[in-house]
Amino acid sequence: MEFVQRFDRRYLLGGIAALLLLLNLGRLGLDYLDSRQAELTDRMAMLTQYREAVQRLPELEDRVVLLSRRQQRLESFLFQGESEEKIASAMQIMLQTEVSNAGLEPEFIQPVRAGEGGDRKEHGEIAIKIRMSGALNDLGVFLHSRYAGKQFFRIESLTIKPFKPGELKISMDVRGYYKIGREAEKAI
Amino acid sequence: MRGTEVIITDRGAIRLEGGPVAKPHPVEVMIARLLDRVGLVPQQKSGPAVTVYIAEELLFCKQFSLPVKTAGIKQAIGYQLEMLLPFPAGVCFSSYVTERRNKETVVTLYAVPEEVIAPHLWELTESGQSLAGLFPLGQRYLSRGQDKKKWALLLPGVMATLLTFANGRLRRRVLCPSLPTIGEAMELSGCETVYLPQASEESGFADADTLLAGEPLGKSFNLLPASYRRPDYFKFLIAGLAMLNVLLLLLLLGMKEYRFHATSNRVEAEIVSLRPAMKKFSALVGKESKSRKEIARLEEIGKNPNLLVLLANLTDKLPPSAYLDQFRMEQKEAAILYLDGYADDMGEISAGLQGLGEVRLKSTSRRNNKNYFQMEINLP
Repeated sequence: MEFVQRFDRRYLLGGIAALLLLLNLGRLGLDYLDSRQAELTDRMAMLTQYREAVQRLPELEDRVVLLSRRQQRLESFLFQGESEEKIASAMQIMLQTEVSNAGLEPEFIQPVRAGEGGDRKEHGEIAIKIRMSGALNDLGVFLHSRYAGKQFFRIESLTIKPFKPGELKISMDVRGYYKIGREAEKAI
Repeated sequence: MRGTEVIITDRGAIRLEGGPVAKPHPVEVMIARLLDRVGLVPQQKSGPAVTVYIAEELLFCKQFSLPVKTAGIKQAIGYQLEMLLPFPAGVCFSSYVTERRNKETVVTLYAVPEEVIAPHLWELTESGQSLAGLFPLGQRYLSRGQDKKKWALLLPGVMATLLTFANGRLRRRVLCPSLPTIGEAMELSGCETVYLPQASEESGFADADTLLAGEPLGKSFNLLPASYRRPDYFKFLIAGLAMLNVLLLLLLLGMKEYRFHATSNRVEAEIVSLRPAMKKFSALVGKESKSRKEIARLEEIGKNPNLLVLLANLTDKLPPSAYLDQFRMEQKEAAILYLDGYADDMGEISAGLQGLGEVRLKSTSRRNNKNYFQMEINLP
């Protein structure tokens, strides 16, 4: 206390204020420098990522080309069309033709769609119920034509019952897969 | 630091011999020599330092209060100096010390006519000595041992002077027409310890000569005008070092800033140049991910069981006596074949169909002299 009393109070307070100001300015300056350095470090990390990515670019390009080819090959088994309604109709016509060509008597071929309208998804599936009658050999012809066809129908169930001598009642549930695209007109 | 000490009394200048004479600091000497060589200071001002003390009885001292803040005190004293001094203000050396007490400022003013001191100072400077300071004699007795205590000093003379110190500062100065006794001095000063030069043990005073043994600390009331003062080389040194430090700090900051900007610009330029390739990379990564998902989805669809082969095998393996009422195949996670019919020999039919897959006979019954069966086959 005696030491403090030796100084003029005004100078003492002024000195303390100046010291605090200096410390605060120093702290603010250091914070500013730190934040700038951190920002630069982030940018340098980003640059390193960019360099690594660019280095891997040719390899990625090759991989994407291969994957695209594979995807195109798999998608070639799908129906393609403008809308789900048109695709369902096309599926129905195709099955009707194949059933008739095989010598079977179609009773009904009915697509079962989840709902009319709704979200226009790029990819989808349509279940189709088929009821027909005919000989076992005609069924074999139909199955052969189905397996040989380009477009894929997944056979989910097949029921065969005798109806008349030499004639069978055949129920079949199939599921067709499609992709809605611009090349619809060409595909269907 | 002050070097030789000289006390000016009404009988003339007395040079202190045998007292503690502080030697100049080697750095100070070095700076002085350097300045001498480059011709920045006159030769006579760089000689041995001498500190001059003036006997209190030669000095005019006045203590008064001013209702002003310390910031304007110099101007206020300047206005009042002519009224306060018993001699013209322009021909005297003066010095004052201020102290804030409550809402006023207490000023202690010392002054001495120039004609009393100037010849002695001239003589000293002519003899090649530099003046370190011109102080009232009371300041010489301030030493490290007493600086935080309250004590009094009685200086005899034509008019004895009683000085009261506290915390190393002069608090009160009283002129006495005759030399007071120890009791009177204690009462006047309010101190328990009163020093007197060359005091005897019987007098009750403490010997003030013991205070002269230590290095002098009193630096208040320096009456020496600036024209007489020895240059303070330490101030120059400290100012120079401070400037150098500031310059170095600015230089370092500049270098740091330059490096930062150079690095930042280089990084930014490279990022800009790589950005198109990076956009392409991002697009390809997205395309790859989408393709992989699509391929996985398509592969999950699976494939159909070969029904043509199944029907052919079934035809081959069923015994001629067997008849199928229903053939039902369901494909969910796995393909399962359900067969309903009848046969003469159940063992024969079970054994025959084993090659198609995992065969399980679900039920059998006998009606109309026939063995009816329901069979389940998990197709591979």
